[in-house]
Amino acid sequence: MFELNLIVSTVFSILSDPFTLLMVFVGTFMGLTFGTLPGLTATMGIALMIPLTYVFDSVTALGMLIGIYVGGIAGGAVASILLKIPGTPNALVTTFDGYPMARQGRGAEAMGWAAVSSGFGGVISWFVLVFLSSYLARLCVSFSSPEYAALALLGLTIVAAITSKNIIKAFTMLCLGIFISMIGTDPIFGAYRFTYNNIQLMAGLSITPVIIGLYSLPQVLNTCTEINTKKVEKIRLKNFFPSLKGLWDAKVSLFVASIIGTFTGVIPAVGGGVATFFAYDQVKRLSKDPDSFGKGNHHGIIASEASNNSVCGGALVPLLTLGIPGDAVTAVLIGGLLIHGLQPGPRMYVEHPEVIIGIFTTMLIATVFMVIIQMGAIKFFIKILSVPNCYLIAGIIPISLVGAFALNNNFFDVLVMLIIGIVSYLLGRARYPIAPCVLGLVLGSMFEREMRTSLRMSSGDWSIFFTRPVACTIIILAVVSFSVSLYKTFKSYMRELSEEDQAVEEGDR
Amino acid sequence: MKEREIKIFELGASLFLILFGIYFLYEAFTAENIFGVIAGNEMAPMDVPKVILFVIVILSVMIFALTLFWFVKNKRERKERLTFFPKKTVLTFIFIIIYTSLWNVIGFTLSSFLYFSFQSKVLEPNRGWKQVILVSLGFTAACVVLFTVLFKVSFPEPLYDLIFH
Repeated sequence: MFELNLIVSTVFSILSDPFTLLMVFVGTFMGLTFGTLPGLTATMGIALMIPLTYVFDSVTALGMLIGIYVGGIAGGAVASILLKIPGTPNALVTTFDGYPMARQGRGAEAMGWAAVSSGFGGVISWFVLVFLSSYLARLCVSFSSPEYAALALLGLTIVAAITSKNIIKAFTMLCLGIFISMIGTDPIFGAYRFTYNNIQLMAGLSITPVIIGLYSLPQVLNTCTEINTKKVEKIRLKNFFPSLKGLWDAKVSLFVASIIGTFTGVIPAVGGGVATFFAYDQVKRLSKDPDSFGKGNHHGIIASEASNNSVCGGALVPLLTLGIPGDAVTAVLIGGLLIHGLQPGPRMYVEHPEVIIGIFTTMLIATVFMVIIQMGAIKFFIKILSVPNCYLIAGIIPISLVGAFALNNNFFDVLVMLIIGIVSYLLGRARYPIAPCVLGLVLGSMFEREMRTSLRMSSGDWSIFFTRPVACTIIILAVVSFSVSLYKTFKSYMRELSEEDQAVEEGDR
Repeated sequence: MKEREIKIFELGASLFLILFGIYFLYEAFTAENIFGVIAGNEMAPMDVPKVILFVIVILSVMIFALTLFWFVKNKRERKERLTFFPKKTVLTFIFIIIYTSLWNVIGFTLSSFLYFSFQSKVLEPNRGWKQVILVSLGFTAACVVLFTVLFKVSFPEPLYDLIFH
């Protein structure tokens, strides 16, 4: 693709330039800070830093922005593990096993796995970006509405896999999430739905305040009564770096999650949120102990973190090869390219090969920096758990409100967060699972939009989903996956019931 | 949480979802008159929401019925003393509402300081005021530096604007 001389000279010029390395480091650090704080996302970080990078040369500027991207995605794990509040929407799945691990005193171990998995996912997607991008570019253009609709359907069927108990409640919450995603403007006709002439509702509800509301307010209202009665187990700060044996044992989870993340990232507009659910589902299926998922199994963290960070490399494939942004962050990243006079697309490979090589190199450097910073900061982050609970809980609400507000500098988002938070708390007291609601929220609008666009393409003929090979295959996969998950969930539920009955019988005796 | 407590919440939540679903179904059906014309033979804007809301209602009715059945089955069980909303939860909730309302009255900085102080004191009444105020000051300053100065988030500060502008 590129001449060897050019590759070697560009890579060495970056590695020998302390300023570029420093800016990539600063970008990664800033990204991690943004990701750690709920509500502040990599997209916001890049948008904020683009004007500052104008004075840098293009490779340094893009290196810094890519550092924010990589760090911003990885940083979401910190709040997910320590506080059960997703730092970014992409880190939601990390809460499933990360928070239980923190409660068991294994918070440092969980963060170690999160850092290593993020790095592993980043490296795998980097390899795919560098060596397979031209082939994958064909895949992303072959995806049309029926394939997107089928993919969203596959995502929605994961609901059975992420819920271990009451499947009726899980489906109710899934539908609630889908319904919330439909508030706003209809994607086909532009008609307003459930907006009551409110200008804020017309744009729909932003996903970040809704997710913060779903998780942070219930967390505060539930834990405020536990002070003085329930202490978190003693934090173990030793051995938080996964051992070689541990890494070897986790190889399948790491690879599966990274590959799923990379390929999901390649498909434009699907995003990391979906990838983490897909990866969690698959890793759980492949596990010998699927029942331990959601109770503190580190493979759950691997699935989430390896997949969300591998989306970064995947999302850069359509951006660099076709000029199509893969997700919200890469859409903002286009701005960074444009202000340096770079037009992403196939011509960039011919006209600015040194920039392409520079992007590849700085992305790998940022991934390495991300792992080093996260590993180095574990001792600092874990101290959060030593903060007296009264201060920790009192601090969560202002930070969550700021997260909801900062997205659009809009007080309406704060109100949305509060209302959703109250409903989520009450539903949580009735043991309704929250994760299916987020799944519906992330995929609901995509499913509806693509399904209706497909039907428009076929003049209302539903066979469009079965006559296109890719869409048909994905739908069959969705049906099979759903049936298997449902059967497994039912089996595990029945086993738990019989165990409970046995315990009651033994107690009676 | 006690089983009976969960079941009472379940009953309330399923009832809420039934009413929620019915209300929005009604909204969707009344809006249909306008949107049906636009859509013609195609799927109208309210078609998918109607299906989703219908499923919510059906599933919630099932949960409601199953919960009622549980109450009938466990009618004779000894009734325990239930606490639906502990005092600290209610106070925390009230503080959050007041705090949010004060954003547009006294501004983000002052309201955050007050919220943090009172919330910490309520959660652990044994902590001295001096320590609580010092920690609150530190927390508020960190928030202002991080979000306002570094990340350029412009919070409502009506008091500040009144004094300095």
